[in-house]
Amino acid sequence: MVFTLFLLTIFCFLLLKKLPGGPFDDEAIPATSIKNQLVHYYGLDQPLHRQYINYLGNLLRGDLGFSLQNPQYKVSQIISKNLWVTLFYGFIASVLSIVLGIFGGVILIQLPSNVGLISESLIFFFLSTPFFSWVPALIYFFTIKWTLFPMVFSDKIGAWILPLLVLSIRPVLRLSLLLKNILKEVMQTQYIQTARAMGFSEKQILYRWALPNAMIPWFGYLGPLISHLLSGSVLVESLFLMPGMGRLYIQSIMERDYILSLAVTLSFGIIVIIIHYLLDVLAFFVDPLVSASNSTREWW
Amino acid sequence: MKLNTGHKRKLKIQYFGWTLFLGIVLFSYIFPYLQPTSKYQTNSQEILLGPSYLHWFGTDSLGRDLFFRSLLGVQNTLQVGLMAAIVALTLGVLVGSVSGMIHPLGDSIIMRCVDLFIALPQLVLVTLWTIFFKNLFPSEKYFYLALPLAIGVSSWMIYAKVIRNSFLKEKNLIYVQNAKAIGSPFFHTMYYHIFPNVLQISISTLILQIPHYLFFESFLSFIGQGFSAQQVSLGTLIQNGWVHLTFSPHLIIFPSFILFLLSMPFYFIIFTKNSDNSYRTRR
Repeated sequence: MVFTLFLLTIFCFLLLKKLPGGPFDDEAIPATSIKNQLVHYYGLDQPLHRQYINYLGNLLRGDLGFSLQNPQYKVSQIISKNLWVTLFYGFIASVLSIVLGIFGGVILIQLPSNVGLISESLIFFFLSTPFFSWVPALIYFFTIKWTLFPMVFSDKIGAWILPLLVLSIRPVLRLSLLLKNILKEVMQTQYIQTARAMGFSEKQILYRWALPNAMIPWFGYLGPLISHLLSGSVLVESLFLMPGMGRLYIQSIMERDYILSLAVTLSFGIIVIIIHYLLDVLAFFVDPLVSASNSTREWW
Repeated sequence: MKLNTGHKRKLKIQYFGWTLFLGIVLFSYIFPYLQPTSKYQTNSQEILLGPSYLHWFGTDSLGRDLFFRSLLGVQNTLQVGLMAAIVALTLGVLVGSVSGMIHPLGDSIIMRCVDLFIALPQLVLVTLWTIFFKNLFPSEKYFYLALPLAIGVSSWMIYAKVIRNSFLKEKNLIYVQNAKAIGSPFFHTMYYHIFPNVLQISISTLILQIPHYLFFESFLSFIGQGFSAQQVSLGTLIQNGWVHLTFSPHLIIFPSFILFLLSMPFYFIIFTKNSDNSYRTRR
């Protein structure tokens, strides 16, 4: 984890240094001497490794510098102002996805085989269609045609519903499909056969033995869920104009404010890496047979 | 080879997918040539018209026919998506095969680097790489390379993981040991003996990923980093439709439906593979 975090700081720093467009490009600064003074003030004239070491030192002290576009604000202030929105509804969305994912998986495994096949292919079909092919229609009908929810984010409860729906519908479907597949395998193992032979009902077997055992491999997919939700938050926040990290990121990219973009990318990376690590440790406690390294990690 | 009925039906679904895909591609390339060019021109008399017989998808805010713009958009979006797939697959195969074959220490170092790119949200990565590659190819001539490269570079990791896992599984099998015993060189073993056996799984991963590449293109154009407003792609059309969402919803509904149609064949093609195969760990 630490090595990955270190790589992350190097990656963000190098990439964002190489991005085009200086911070002072669009401003009408006549004299180059003023520009040079500004560049010197922000430390942009030092050699690259020097800048990196400075950056790392400041980072360890929690100081991410000042925003290039809004010099009156510190980057850490801007981020802490925006972070809670993303974290709060990200937390709600992840709880929602986990709970509904379990429900969905349990429902899917109990469906009769033909209905199950149809619903499963519908879900798979939905998962393979891109975000933009259904979200615009959804937003149009829910916000403009039927005016059920406000289109722009506000403090009201109703404004949270549509972003949460858009954000968590894919993880819910994906997690339930996954749980169903794992359950299908578990239901054919020998201890379940034994329970069947002893005369327990299918429902009893499912809830008492199959589900807890199916949760162990399923647990490993929660890490990618977090990345997926953060990635989705970039899109959802810029669609609904929510004051969160994703929107901040898009704004900073458009304004070429690369101290801010670097900070946002870094905080995204740090959040995901730490959560992945915690989940790996937790997976070790849930199932001691799993080695604590990376065997439970999977792609989303 | 004798096929049972279930297999036959699955093959039929796969052929249906390919036919649909080829049909959409041919239609989007041929149909615009059969129509008068006045349909692309701006026309101040016909602004924001709804769907009608003359304009199947209606017209946009400059009076251009949306149906033809959608067809042109399909061309550009598909080009970007397929080129991105090639870039991602190439990078993933290179990294994954090397990582699977070399010493475990090097393998774990490469895997930590891959973990880094997994940790960053993909939309963030794709935006960063787009700006980077646009800077690398500032001239108009190579500009169309920037988007596929950016999308490919930000999504090669899944292939690297899949191929590495397959290589780890394959390299202990007897045919590889035999090849090594008779003195087959490192790269020859890798790409001549092992690679054909892991090709199947990487191709099916690839087909599953192409709709995501189409989505990345739309996203990039949507936030203003992809195609510029002069060029047509499904992303710029959706972005344009988003502006007019309240009063002319056809401008966003139709392009997004076209995007949906475009990703549908890949679903039918992949349907033949075991559907849970794509979501399970390949240990």
